[in-house]
Amino acid sequence: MVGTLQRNVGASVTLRLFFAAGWRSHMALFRWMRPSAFFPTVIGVPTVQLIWFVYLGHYVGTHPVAYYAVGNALHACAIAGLFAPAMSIQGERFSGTLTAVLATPARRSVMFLGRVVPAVLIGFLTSVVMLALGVVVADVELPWARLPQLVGAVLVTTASCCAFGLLIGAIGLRTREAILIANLTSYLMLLVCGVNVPLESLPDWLQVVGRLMPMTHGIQAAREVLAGTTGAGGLMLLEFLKALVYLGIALVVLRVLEQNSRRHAVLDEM
Amino acid sequence: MSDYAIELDNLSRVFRAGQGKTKRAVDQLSLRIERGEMFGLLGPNGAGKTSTVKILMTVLLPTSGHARILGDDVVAQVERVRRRTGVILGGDAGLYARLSARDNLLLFADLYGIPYREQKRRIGELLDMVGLLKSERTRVEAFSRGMKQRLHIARGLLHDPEVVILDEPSNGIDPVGARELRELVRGTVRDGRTVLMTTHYMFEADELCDRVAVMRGGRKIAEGTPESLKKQTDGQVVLSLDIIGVGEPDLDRLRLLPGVGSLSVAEVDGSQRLDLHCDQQTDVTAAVMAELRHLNVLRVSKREPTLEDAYISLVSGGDDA
Amino acid sequence: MNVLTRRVASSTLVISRGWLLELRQLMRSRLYLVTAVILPLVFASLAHYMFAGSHRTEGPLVIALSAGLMGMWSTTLMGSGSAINRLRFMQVLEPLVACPTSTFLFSVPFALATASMGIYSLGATLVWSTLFFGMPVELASPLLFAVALLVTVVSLALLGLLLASAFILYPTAQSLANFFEYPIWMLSGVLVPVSSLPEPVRYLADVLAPSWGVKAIMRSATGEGGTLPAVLACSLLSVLYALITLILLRRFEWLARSSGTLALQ
Repeated sequence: MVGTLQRNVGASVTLRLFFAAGWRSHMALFRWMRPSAFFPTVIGVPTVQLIWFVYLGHYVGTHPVAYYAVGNALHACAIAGLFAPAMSIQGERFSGTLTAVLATPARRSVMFLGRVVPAVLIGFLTSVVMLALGVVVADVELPWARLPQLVGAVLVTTASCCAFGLLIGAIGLRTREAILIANLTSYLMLLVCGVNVPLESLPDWLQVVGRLMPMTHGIQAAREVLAGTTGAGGLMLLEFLKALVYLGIALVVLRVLEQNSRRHAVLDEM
Repeated sequence: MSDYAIELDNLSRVFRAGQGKTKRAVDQLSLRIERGEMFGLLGPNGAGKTSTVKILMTVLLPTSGHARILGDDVVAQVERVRRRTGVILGGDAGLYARLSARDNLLLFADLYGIPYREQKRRIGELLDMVGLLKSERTRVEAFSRGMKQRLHIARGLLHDPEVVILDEPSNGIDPVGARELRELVRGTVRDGRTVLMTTHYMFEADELCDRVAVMRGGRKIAEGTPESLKKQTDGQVVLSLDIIGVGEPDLDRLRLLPGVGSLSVAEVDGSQRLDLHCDQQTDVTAAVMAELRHLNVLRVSKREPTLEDAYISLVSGGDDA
Repeated sequence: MNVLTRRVASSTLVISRGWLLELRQLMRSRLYLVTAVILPLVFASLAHYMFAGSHRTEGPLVIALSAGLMGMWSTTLMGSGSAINRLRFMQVLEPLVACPTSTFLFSVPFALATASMGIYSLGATLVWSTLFFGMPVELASPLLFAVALLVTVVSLALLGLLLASAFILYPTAQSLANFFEYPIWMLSGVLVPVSSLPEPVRYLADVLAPSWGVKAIMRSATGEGGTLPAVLACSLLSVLYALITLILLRRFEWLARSSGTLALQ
């Protein structure tokens, strides 16, 4: 019987590697999935963040409060989007499973991309819940007719954010500080991605940084959809392209790291 | 198709040790392991066992030389090697603590590309074989070391590999658990497969392995069946003393006695066990007792050398044996 | 008396050594340093750009100070949470609890070290603000400002410690650290004065030591009266926090020992 289970290829095997293994890795390594952490962090932090900025925005009075509610609702996906892929890649090293995983014949691109899917799902749901909160506390008006476009904008924003999270995780394999990078990125987004401050009021170089970061075009697209103006489609496409670029870079970095680790044994020791 | 399951040709691995220095972890190692053989790789810490194993499990590249598993080169034919080789790691790490035993296996089943229809059957079968069927839904963080090690075994056998690499499987496991583990290795793991295992425990290698190789400083210093290694100590006898309060000056005097080869000291239940490897021809007992007359000697016995004795005389022998 | 002096001296030694050690640990991570440099800039810019074009009359000094205090609070929270987690991860939390020095003594340095990083963060924000946003460098009463700052830092450290003592018991509590960040900004009146909070919430702000610290810092910087009473309130509340922490740590340590969560990740 030895040797009957070793040569399997085909769509179903690849799909399971992408979805089932991706989901299990996410559950195994995203520390905030347990309810005692999930509710205060993944749901709680965006809630207090949205309330704070709406409160601050109300006091400042430069934009309607709905502006801050929408920006922060979309930024809410960053908690799952940045931290989940980052932890699920970097966590392999902390749990000592990296060697075992790298000894499997699983296709790396499928395996790593599969870990982004649960993050996109959870990030998307967080943003949806926060938009609902925005409706309650900040008079955000949902255009029922354009709801599919709004869903598209939220989805593409989350995807782009998660792709960036994967890149952070890849860097974290080497530096061990993925969580710090994710934290810093999340705060930076509050400033440069049009969450609380319109891009146009920033100095030129910060605008450039903002446009290169994930999320910026997605948030703008969501604002356009809500305002009923045109141009959201192009922005969404742009955000989607950014997501693809980030995914590509992340996979290249992971590949280079794996090769280097075989050559110099750099990933083994803690 | 190669005749050998595992072949190493002048395999070397050099690490940079900082400040421009290098360390040869594996040095010109050559081995031939037959199909279906159970082979033990012995050696003290830092002998190069782990680097050798890592090269074979395709997570480390050799600096020079070749390693082939079932005829496939571990550098050029990575994919084929990974599909046909199982890896069983030792110790606490290497499992997802927050997943149940079953979920750990399901995750790796997907990573090994085992079709879904097969997964359920195979995982149930393996959990049963390693005796974890009852705790399959328990999170691994609640497992004892022994249970984790059995789960490691199930994980390594998921894709029914032809070659299995076991890295210090009984490390840190209590004696009873270690015996159960050896039963598992002898039965479930072997089951017609080729097995390469590393271990510190000589009796384990003696009990399980068809052949062993001893490594020291990255080199192979001996190879053969456990019996043939023991024969290297032919013409020797081990004089074993249980004693209290033996010190370094005493040992130095004993080493100078004619007929005494190497000696080793180990703490056993509050006393020291002193093993002297002596020539069969000269009876050194009287001379030894004379040197130790100021100490409390609890017990004196003579015995045939074990594999452990052979190993100790090998690894504590001259600088380049 | 002699015994007391010796105990105070040895405790001071433990605390100051621990503080230095912890600071060195924090500094070792290059990325933490980068974060410490960039984060205040992010907060300062966020505050300045949000207030740009507003009809509110807060001067650049108040905005910069607020942003600095936000950063200070974030550093302290993140620091105390991660300190306990790092100990857990390096598997030294158990031996530390087992050693004869009280748990309170070995956790104070962590809080102080992260709060020192907090002072730095406030300083960095002020420097960035003078460089980029034309903030005037004059402080109405530098001496009072220094006193107010010191008291606020200690109060932040002790509040962080109060939370950190919970982190010893609940491994997942670090995620609560992130949760507390925004509410405490809101309650301590950074950027938006406490007076615009709803009535019942305002009482909550009154029992929060850092909110008095913020008042003291703002008043001493702008030259308003009432710095000293605020300093006093902040100090008294801090002492109260220290007492609660002492009691809690004893209790938590016992609970953690009985539930076996010290070693968990």
